[in-house]
Amino acid sequence: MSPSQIWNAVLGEFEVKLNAHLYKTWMKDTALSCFENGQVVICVSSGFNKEWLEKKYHTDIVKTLEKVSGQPIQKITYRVEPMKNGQFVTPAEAPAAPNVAYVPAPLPERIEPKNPYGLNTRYTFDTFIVGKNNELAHAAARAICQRPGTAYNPLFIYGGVGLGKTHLLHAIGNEMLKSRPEARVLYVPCEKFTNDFINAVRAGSARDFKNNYRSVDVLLIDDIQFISTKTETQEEFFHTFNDLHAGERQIILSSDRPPKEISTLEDRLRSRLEWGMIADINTPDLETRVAILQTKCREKSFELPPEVMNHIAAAVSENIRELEGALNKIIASCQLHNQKPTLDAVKSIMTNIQQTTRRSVTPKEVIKTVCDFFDVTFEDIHGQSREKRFAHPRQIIMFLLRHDLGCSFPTIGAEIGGRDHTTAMHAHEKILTELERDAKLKQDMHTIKQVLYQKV
Amino acid sequence: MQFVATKNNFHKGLQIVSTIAQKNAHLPILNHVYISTEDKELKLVTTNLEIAVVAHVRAAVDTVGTFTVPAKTIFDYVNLLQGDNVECTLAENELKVKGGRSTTKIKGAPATDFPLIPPVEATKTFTVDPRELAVGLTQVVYAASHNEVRPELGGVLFSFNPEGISEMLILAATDSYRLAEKKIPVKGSGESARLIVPVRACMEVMRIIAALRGDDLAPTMDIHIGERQIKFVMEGVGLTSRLVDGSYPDYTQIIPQKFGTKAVVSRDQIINAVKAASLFSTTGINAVSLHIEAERKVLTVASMSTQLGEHTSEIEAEITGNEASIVLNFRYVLDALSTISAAQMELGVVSADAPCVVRGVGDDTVLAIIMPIRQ
Repeated sequence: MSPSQIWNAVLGEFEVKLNAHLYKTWMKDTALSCFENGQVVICVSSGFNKEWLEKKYHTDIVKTLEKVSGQPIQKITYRVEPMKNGQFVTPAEAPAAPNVAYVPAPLPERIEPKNPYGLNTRYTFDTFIVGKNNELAHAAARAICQRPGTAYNPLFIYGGVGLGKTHLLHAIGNEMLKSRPEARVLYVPCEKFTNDFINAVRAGSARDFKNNYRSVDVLLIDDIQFISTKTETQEEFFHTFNDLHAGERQIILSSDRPPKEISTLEDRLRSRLEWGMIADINTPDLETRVAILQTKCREKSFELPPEVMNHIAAAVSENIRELEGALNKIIASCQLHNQKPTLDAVKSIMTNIQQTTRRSVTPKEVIKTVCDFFDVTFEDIHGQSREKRFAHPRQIIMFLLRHDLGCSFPTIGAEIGGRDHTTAMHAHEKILTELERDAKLKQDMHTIKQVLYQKV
Repeated sequence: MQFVATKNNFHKGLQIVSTIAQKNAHLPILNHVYISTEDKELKLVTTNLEIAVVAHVRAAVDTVGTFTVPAKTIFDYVNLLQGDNVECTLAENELKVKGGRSTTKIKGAPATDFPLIPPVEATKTFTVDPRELAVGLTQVVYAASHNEVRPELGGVLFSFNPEGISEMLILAATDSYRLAEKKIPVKGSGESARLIVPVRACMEVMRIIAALRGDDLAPTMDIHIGERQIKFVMEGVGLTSRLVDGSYPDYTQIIPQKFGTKAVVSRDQIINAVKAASLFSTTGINAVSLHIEAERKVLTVASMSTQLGEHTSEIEAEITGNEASIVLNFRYVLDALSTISAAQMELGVVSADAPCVVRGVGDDTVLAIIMPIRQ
């Protein structure tokens, strides 16, 4: 990671943790100018800024930097540098890097080596909250830890954004290491696999790459849907897969959708991914979300009354990351304003969150997104045909208009080619009941919403 | 926190600090004044994150503590209080202010959220007379640029002990159309220093000195210079400001040394004539033309506007050199004339397209240079 990437990640953490005013005033106009061997230089725009960071945020900055970079921080120097057009400029007369009389400080004893397995030790089974939505994936993961390579191989975990796929992958890795410390575990995001392969080919060290990846006992690959469309990369993965599988070494993969729907995947690879066990992670139900909040509150030792927890869990339903973000914001806001987290206070904070996380969409956009998803035309939706391939998307549109946009039933009828309001009511009710039991519909709905709300 | 101060002292302290406290969208606490009774003295602080003003107020401190309250509210309120003394007590998130027969509670915020004032680690320290500094700043600060394209011109140059001249502080400001320069005496280590102080900080220094005029104004003011910071310190008051980055242009080369024509006129008369002519100059251009006739010993000030009409007035003048004409922006002329206080003013002209110089007769410390409007 380059210093600017590291600093961006740190700023990201602070932006979530801090109240927006404080973030803008104290953190926004800062930069990391040097990051070497635990020696860090942070540029700030004024003396006030320097003073504040040194006296108030220093410990947090150290912690976050260590977390982001995975390296111990020994010394942070804050330096006031002039800014031009939002960029720091080092004046020409300023002394260059102090290479004279530069004696690196002795390493402190508490240094932990960067986790060589690519695992984050914070993600364990203990912190993973099991609910109806993820019990299958969790059980499969547990089974693998007991009988690696034989229970389910490969294990394929899929589910939406921020539902805990990566957590589960790390948890498996960590658990394996706990029971068998000599095991060779390797966790890589898919992108790293691809990059490693390309670099290896370019550097002519394909053998090292093979040795590296084929000698592991447990291979964890995150976000496999990003595997390149390049046949060479897929082929290399295919061979790596075969080699490991034949040697009864465990392979675990994660993705945001099932193998069947990853269009870039070659058939022989797809069939292999479907070979072992496919487990999905869904959006957590209310009880699970409350349980997650309880755990998080305990971690942060912050007390929330039960009704407040219920409110937060009810308001943020799609994504655990958002849930944690909302909780962080509430904690920060309450601590800043020194107020008790009462239901009213939380409600007013939450309104801000919802405004920012949800893009506002128009009925037109809903219709267009759903049409694109099901590959039907606008006229088909407006038309009178009651064929299932038209009627189903039509009902989903009506459901979304009612459920997400809060349109009235008569308005919905008018939007969808002048239909009666009772048609809209029926559609809403039907989709609502089907969502309860039809996993496919649930998955579709999730994808549609993602497309709808993430459009730029 | 609890203290009793005389209404006058408290009010004066608030007056010194409260203009800096202004609304800030990012950090609402910036319109608060920080009140501290730590170290058994009453300290008031405000800042806008560029400038910080600290005032020490004589008071009887009962219990130590810190708090912040909206600066304007407490300043306006203390002004209205009856009685000689003001008693302030902190109760949770309110400051109880008692004076005469009235009591009030002002809502505030804890002092932990208030910005920390960066200490100035002085590498050089100089001493000036605050009265002279205030006059000097008044005579140059108007010429500073408001344009943000060249930030170094948006400040006043402080050049301590410039090459070859010791015990002197040169103040200068320019917006590249006109320039003003003032020299005042300075004491200190004799080292040189060249730095740019933001206009806002200069204005505050002038305002604070004006507010202390009378018995409270100390005879000396220390100026501490640190890295990218400057601190003005008088008895009981301190102002810290960041410095403007960049290097100030070498303006000395544009000061003309030889003049083709020099005219000496009465200050009052020329101010009057220029003001009269300004009424008939085209808005936006603001041009008035000056014509110097050596033989008749008059300076003619004229202006013409197609819509408003035209004006001419003549002033008696002592003239050396040739006949000359020059067209100037009347605002620049009036700015220069009104800040230099001499009975007779000297106008030096080189040519119609070269900068001209305005200075007071018998006062070599200050001069103003104005670029002509080209025809």
